[in-house]
Amino acid sequence: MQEILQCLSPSSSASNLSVLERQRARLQRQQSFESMNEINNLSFDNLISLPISPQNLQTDQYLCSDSSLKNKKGGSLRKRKAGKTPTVNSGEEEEKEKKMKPDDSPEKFKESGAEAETAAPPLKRDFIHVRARRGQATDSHSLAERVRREKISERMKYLQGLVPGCNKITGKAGMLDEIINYVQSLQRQVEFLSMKLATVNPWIDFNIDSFLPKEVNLACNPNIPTVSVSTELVEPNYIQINPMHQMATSCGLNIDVNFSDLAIRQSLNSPLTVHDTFLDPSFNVHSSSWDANSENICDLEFHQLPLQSLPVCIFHAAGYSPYNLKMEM
Amino acid sequence: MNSKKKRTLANPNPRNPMQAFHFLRSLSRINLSTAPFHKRCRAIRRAAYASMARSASPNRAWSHAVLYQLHRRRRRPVPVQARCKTHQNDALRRLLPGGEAMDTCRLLEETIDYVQRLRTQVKLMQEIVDSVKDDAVHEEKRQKEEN
Repeated sequence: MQEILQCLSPSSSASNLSVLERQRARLQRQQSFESMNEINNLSFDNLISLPISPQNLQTDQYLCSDSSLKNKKGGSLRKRKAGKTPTVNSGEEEEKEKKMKPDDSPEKFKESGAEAETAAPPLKRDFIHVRARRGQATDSHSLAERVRREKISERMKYLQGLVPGCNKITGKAGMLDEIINYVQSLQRQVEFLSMKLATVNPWIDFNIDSFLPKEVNLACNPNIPTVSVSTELVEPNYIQINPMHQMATSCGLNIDVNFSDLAIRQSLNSPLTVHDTFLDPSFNVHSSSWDANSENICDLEFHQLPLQSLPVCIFHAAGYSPYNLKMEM
Repeated sequence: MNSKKKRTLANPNPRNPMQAFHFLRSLSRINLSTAPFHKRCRAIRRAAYASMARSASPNRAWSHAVLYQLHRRRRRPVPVQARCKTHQNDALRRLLPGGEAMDTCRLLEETIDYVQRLRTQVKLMQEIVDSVKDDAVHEEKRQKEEN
């Protein structure tokens, strides 16, 4: 009776298993009882139609042979599954000459079970997936996930280089904390420095002349008729500014250096007489029309200077060497 | 990637000139004004962030967010969407202007850019303060010598 039932069940799903059945029939000639059990097991366990491909047939052969060696009556799912994966793997190994570790088999079976509906494509694709399986990805989703994860890790590494003192920390969470702390500290520093700048500027009063020896060697053309060559402090800066807007070559940072000088001196000269003529040779620099000048120069600079291709002029301002050194364009 | 790292370490920000330029210009303008201390403070801080944002490359989301904030005179961004799940990136999102609506990947990119610019801004401001201090010291010395 049991045998009849077992015979009947495969026959019900015979339409799906035509080729397989033929092979099974072949096996039956060899091991009739065992093959029947295999078919039963297969039919019970595989609710899905098995693929029709030579590979699968071979694997099924392996499967049948293997499971026949093992406990057939029990037909326990676990055993068959445990038996299946090595056989599948071994089949692949033999066919594709890929070495697979048995440890991966439970994972692989889960994955193959997940895609059990189309057994042929996974088995065919397994050749590609074999490599992916080591990194756990089998389908497009996980591959995309992996790409995304790699991107993120790449950026984290870059941030590790940016944030000081992050070399020892491994792991995303710790790194994130460090980054957050660093950003917070930078923001606090900006606040503090802005406060400092607001306080410092108005009440520091000093004579500009004291600046001269430190400041500025000109690499630019000093043949500017507009500003006479005097030992005025800021004047060298003006000389620089003029060629800056006449020559389209200047270093952006150094412009800023000069501007910062001017800004500082401007701020220090609290009695500000604005808008004196810039071109006046006898122009007293103390009352520089800084803003007007700056705006002219800014506009010109914007228009004339391709900022990204600024060659480095050699301005040596003592206090600004870090900027100069950093200016490599 | 390594070469890029080296380049950025040597020159923290290729757009540095623009950032410094903007900041110094606004700083000079602020110094010209006679506003009370705390207003000037805030104005300088706003100028700092504005210069950072203006010199940022246009495809940076945080720069747009910063400029939008400053334009609307909002100190803190209005939370756009309340995120249902608290993620580990939430704190970073709150820090970064405009970081609310970004996926992790882009968030990290923006953080990199933001950190670079913040750093250069801090350095710039520090330089200014230091130079002013140096000048003050020199000036005092000079006056003492004269006297």
